[in-house]
Amino acid sequence: MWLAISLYIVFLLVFLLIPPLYDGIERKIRAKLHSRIGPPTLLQTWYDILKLFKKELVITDTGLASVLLSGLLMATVIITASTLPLGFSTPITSNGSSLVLFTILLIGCQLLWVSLTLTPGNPYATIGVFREALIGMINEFFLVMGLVALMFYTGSPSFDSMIRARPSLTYLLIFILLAISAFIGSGRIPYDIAEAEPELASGVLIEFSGPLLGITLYSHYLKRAILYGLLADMILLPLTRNVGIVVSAIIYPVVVLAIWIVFAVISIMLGRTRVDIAPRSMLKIYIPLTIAMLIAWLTGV
Amino acid sequence: MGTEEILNTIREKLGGIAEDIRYAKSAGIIVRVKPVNLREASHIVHDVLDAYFRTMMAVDERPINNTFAAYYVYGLDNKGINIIIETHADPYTPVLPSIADIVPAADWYELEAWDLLGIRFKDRKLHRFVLPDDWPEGLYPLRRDVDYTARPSPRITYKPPLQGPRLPVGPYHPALHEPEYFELFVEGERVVDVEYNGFHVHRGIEKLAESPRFTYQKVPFLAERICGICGFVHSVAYTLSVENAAKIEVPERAQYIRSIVLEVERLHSHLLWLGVACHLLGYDAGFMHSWRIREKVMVLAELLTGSRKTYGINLVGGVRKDINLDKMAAIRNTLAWLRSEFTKLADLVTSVPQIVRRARGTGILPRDEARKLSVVGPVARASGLNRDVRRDYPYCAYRDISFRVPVYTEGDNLARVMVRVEEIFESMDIIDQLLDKLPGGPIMAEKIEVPEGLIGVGNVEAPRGEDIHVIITGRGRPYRWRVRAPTYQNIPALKVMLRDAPLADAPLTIASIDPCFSCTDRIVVIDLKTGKKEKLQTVSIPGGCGCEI
Repeated sequence: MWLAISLYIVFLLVFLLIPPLYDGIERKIRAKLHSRIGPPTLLQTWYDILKLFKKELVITDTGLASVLLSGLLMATVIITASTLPLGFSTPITSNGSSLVLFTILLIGCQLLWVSLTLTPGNPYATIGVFREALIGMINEFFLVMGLVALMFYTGSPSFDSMIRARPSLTYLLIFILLAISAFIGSGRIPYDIAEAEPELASGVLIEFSGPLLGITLYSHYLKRAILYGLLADMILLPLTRNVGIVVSAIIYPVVVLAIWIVFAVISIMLGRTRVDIAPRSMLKIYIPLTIAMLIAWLTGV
Repeated sequence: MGTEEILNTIREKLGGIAEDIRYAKSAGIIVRVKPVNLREASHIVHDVLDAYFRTMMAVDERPINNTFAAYYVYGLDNKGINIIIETHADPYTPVLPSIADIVPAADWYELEAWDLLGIRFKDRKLHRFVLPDDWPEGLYPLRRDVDYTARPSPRITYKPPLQGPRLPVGPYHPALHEPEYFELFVEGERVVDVEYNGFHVHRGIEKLAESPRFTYQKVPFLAERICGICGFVHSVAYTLSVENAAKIEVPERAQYIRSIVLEVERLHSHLLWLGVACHLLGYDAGFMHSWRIREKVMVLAELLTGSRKTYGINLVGGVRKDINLDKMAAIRNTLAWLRSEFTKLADLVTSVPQIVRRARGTGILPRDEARKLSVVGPVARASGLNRDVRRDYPYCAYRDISFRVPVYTEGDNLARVMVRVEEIFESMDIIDQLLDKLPGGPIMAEKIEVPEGLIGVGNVEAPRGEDIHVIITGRGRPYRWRVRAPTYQNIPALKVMLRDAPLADAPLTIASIDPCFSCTDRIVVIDLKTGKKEKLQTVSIPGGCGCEI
């Protein structure tokens, strides 16, 4: 029991450390595709965050709320990460309602993100929050729908039941639905309109600097890793019956990285959408996909 | 229709109100009217003869004829001839009638003439325009009795902070690569109105050129510093104005070399702009690859001029650097590579769905509005106005070659993208033709003499549109040098283009005119406590350029 808990803590710590590293890898890949050199090291994002933590704290009139909410956001994101299976069933995910708990925490992260970015009161940030809330409302709805569908499909609101999931068209469609919502939810181009640097001067992040920006950026990367980790779990947990828990746990960070890179490359090939176009384009994807998922589930394929 | 027929038409239409009508080959048909007849003359030229408003030069002519003069330059594009309405105001209380309601494009020129020369325009609101808010009242820097070294003490002013649903864009904003200020009035994510506040780093270059520090041959080096991107354009427009006024015969080879460098500058500028447009739309891959291609053009510019930015080779009467066979081969090799790379990039950029969806139907400038404002360059051509100075008022070697002028009628951001994309291909073809036809001979005129009191107009099709310089010659240097960069003519159109448009498209729409503000200017920092002055050289920022005069 103690060995399992110790191993879980080690893997969780690794999971908490890798998002900025993955962003560093993404920056190198993006630079390569742009035909430029990029950052000097894969650890550049970590260096950036650490440097931000060393800087002085400069805040607006409403900065106290920003500080409190950023701390709460980071804590919530870390707790959410701890409820995620890391390629294997952990002491927390073996709980009978772990998937429900994860879903609630994930929504909590989004709400805290919106609340945090609303605090500075800057007009650019306010416009960014409005965009974030609009995109978030639609995306979170389908994200929750995908997770609920997963619960129905596996027959239990626990992550552990995913180990017994059998590959099928329904499972594939649930995976695609969750993959799209993870792509959009992780704030990637074309859906990064809340920041939209050339339009809104970094929008929701405009008033954040120093440690506050460091916390916000780290939380953002970790949330991105959680969303991709969920997809990695959908691939690996059913395979643990064949490959074993150890292999699954070891290759888990690699699968998360692979998903991260695929999403990064997709976003490199696209431009930014607009707030009035984004909801329409999302619904054009989500509604047919949801219908297909329901038909597949009802027909048992 | 020849010049004589146009003259007859003008005599017929304006004969009743004109004091004098004459033709000067260096400038065009000059019609002198009394101020009281200025509005009627403007109406006839602009509305009846359907001439575009090109520029206006206000001059302190008190040392010459004891008046303040204003020269309104109109252009009959399809005839390739200017009509200049000249009028003179009282030397003590200079007042002219405003024509901004008849010729909307004249609005800024009147404000500038008021600001810099103190010429009052009747029946319109006048306000501080070019000069900074803390510039003292009643001191007009372009008047001849104000020394170019004058550094008046700043006055204290107060500007209330923004209130209401306004969104400040600038002076520092990621979408603006130079210091300009747009105030967007928004309802939600929709722009309902816009106010522009520019000239943050006005440098008084026109005044400087009139100072004893400069001669006719030194001003080209000053002129090219107007702009960090199209410096050669300004240099050529200036030299053309002097050469036209003084009837200087420029060798044919020099004219070809100027044209080649001008087209290299266009390639550079359009590639830069395309990259910025991609960046504004979140497509950074397009941005980076456009600038990767542009890098080769800068290397080519260095080969031709010794500078990555086409500086330092132009003089009144010719050019300082020749093109030999090695350089010709290098140009051809670069063009072949460029053609192949840019074809791929253009296909890629125009196939990204977000770029097409966001550029199509946004930032629309209808044809009639474009005509009213006499907009120039790709902005005009994207709104259905078939205007190109290279063809309409041929200069340098453009009269010897053939090229297509791309015109779109949609008037939206996508049309402006497409015009520039097609112009890049056209520029490459033009350089090919120029190399094929490059004549032998000298590259500098043998005799350069510039008599006093002559007027000359020089125009060049810059990457952003028509750049026009008007000069009145003086002793050893210009008596008055008026520069009008294309952005000056195009910015007023932004009010139309931005109104009722999504906020997200505002940066692209602003960028779609390829605004050319100031970026390589010298500024004077004054410590208000000690009064100590210090000159600073700011750093050129990629993505923008300096066309504030």
